[in-house]
Amino acid sequence: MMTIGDSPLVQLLSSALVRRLRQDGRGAARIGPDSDLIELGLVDSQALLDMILEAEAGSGWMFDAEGMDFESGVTLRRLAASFAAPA
Amino acid sequence: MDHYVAENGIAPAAMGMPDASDGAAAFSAATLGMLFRRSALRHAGRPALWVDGQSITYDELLAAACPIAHALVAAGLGDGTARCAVLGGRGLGDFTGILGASLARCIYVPLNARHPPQRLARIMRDAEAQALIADREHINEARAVLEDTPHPVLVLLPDSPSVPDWAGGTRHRFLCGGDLPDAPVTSLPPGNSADGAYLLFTSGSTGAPKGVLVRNRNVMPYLRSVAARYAPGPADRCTQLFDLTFDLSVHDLFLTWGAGAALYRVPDNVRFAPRAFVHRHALTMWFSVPSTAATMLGLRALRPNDFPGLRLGLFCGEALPKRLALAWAAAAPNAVIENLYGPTEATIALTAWRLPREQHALDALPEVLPIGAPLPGQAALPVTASGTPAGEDEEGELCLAGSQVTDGYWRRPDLTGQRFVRFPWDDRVWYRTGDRARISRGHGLVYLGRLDRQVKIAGHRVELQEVEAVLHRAADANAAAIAWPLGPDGLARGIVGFVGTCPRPDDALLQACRDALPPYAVPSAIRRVSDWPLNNSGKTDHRRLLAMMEAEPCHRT
Repeated sequence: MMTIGDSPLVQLLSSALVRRLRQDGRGAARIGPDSDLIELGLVDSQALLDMILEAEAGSGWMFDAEGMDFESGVTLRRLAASFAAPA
Repeated sequence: MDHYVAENGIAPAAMGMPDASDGAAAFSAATLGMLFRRSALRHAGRPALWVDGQSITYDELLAAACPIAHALVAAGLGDGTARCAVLGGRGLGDFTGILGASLARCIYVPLNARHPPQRLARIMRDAEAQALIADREHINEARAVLEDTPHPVLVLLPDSPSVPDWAGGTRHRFLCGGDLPDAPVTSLPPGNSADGAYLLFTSGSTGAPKGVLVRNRNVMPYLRSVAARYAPGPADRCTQLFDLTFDLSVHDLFLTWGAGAALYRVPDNVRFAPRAFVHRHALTMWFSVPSTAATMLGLRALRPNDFPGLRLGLFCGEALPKRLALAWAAAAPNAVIENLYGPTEATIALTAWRLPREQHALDALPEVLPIGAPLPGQAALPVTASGTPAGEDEEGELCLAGSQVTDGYWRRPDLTGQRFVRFPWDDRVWYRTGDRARISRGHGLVYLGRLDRQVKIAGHRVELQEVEAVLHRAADANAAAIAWPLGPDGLARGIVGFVGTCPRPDDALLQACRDALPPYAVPSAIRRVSDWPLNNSGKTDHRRLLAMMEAEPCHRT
């Protein structure tokens, strides 16, 4: 798994999210890497899938859904931590 | 008539399922309330519901719902016709509220707290709901709804210790947890099959939601059919994924509880990759819209043998692509997989089709899977434009008849007259679905698309005219909405709004949509069109708008 810190993946995911929110006419000022995107109603399943696919395309890494604990919340940091380099 | 599709009487044994006779006793009840009463008495100490990490037994659930029911009855609302709104977000309070209303012979009206307050208040007004149940978590949403509700309402706050400060200045009467009467379930009225069960509001093409009242005489035949077909029993553990404003949730709740089984409210976060949740709770029955499976597949969270413990996988609410069903079959190799079909007007689902196991049969399937044949006692038939039954392989509008077909739209005789009709060749009332279908010799009924502009977004019905009405008001200009883009499985992923020349910025137009429409119906983008396309009749040419999208797609992110 990738080390987070200032992970480029967090940045990629964050950029995708902010673009989407702006397109929807919504601000992104209060969204941090640990904000729960589902709880806050910021993304639906399709938007989440789009964000992940965009981050995969931008990073060349693959998202591992089974490596993520969705029950603890869907955050940018958790999503980024579930990307792995292709085998 | 020989054109009718034969009743679908597949016996449980033929499906490799256990015999339902032991668990099916509750399904002979006349009402949802009586079904739960019988089951709760029989399965008192067994788990009935898992929600937010908490497991609740049948007797605990009954104990929570009974005071609500008695309060409604004491207020004179237990007559089978009064309406009680239940506001929330699939929490424990929603389940106890629905049960409380059902036990009291009240018609429940589910309200999703995430929908715009003005839309919820409109539903309160249109339903003329005499009562509202809300849990503590949604007290602010309740306030917003009640402020715009002109008629007096009995407000039940079962888990609130005291009446909120703002309640005093309103026209409504409030009762908190301690105010609710403590009395046994046996003193509640039993009800009868003519009682209303629930009143749901769906998207309306005139720009406002329209209501469908489902009576117990409509919903109980459905539950008896699926109880016989799927043989649920006390050992089953069933998913609860649907929003409670979606009638498929009625299947979740009352099929599970009628069987003495346990219902697992799947958290919103988990639906993207539910493997660990399904394993941990040893779930046996799955029911979702195909879009949920599509998201799982997109995230690579639907892999072969991911769900070996499931014995049943049901899909409903939108067209089921073959690719998705095959992926699901590989992930749940021990499950019977079925595609259900039905509009709210005909109560949850009226036809069913089972995925075969044999490779040669799978190879012969169309890319969008069939919807099969009617449940027992129901009828489904494509009817041609001239009003005659369509012949084999002939396309027609799918019309439905039988005990599941409701009386019509709530206080809309005009609309009811258009959609609930009689034909000279039959004495029953038929509901015209607006779906195009044909009967195929090999597959039964096959869905071919819509006759009108209704679309499904993640299984939710959206009349595009309702979105257009909101956009038109906000922009004061030409406005249109199209479903876009279609994903690889042919499922619409969202809606794009088009407006003509208009000074208001996109943000303002989208905010107007968010204020009036449920989240799934809000456009994901606005396109400006200076040269508005018109067809030969002088109306908006939606095909040309679609062509614009294909030539220059919107990017969602």
